[in-house]
Amino acid sequence: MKTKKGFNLRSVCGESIIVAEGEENIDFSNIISMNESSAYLWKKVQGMDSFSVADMARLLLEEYDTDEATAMSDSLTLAGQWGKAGIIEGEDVPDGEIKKAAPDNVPSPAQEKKGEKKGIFRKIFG
Amino acid sequence: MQEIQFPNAELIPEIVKMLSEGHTVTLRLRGVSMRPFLEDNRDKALLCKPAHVRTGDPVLAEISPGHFVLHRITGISGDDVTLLGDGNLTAEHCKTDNIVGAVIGFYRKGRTRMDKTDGRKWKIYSRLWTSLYPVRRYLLGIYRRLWIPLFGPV
Repeated sequence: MKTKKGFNLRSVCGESIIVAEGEENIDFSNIISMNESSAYLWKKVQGMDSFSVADMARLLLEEYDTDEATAMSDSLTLAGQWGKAGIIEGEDVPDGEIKKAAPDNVPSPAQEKKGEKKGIFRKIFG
Repeated sequence: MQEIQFPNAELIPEIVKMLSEGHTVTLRLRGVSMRPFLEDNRDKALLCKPAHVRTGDPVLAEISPGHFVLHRITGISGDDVTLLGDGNLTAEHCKTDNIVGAVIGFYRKGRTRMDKTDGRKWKIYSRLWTSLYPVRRYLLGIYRRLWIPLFGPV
């Protein structure tokens, strides 16, 4: 797997975050926060053409005082979260889940149907 | 790793810095002060550095230290700017220097197509909604108490 382009680590309000950056635009509508170790890993793997969960574990062991099994399982979880957040790509991205600080806004199927309806403004003016 | 939201007082100064560096910034909107067009936590704004702001433009402004709003300009007199949110009844005041961002357009309802502030839809809506100011109190009341519970936000 490898990191997608345009997802750079920034430090905002003392937090390490990843925001989508285009040529001009910086998208603050979806902010992904990184703790210290994941920020460290992101910086390391961002320069690599390709990396594996084992590479992430090795990098963790180089920097942190932890055992191999923990490093492997943490790396697997993190890679899964990164995959779910859409900031890494590749066929070997593991499955994962993201914790959300804000209440979950994923629309239910009923609401989604409603969203497909033509907006009222377009009904009137479009 | 979490998806997070920052308090505006801390985040917006960083955004202002990026705007002044020449970037544009997409920001999720909070609050209901720009109803009926914009809804809390649903819609996004594409911001840029303010150049020539005019009456009628929606802008990001610091109305008191650390307090940022995205409201419409209703009057400019020299250095003094009057702001009023579309969903508000009382105006705010600031100086032209406190205008920190201009709006290129809004992404509504998770759409990828932007409603530009120089586009027809925004202009027609703006003209209509501002002309209804005398009855805004009642329209907003009906919208909040009847329309949203029955039909959801527009």
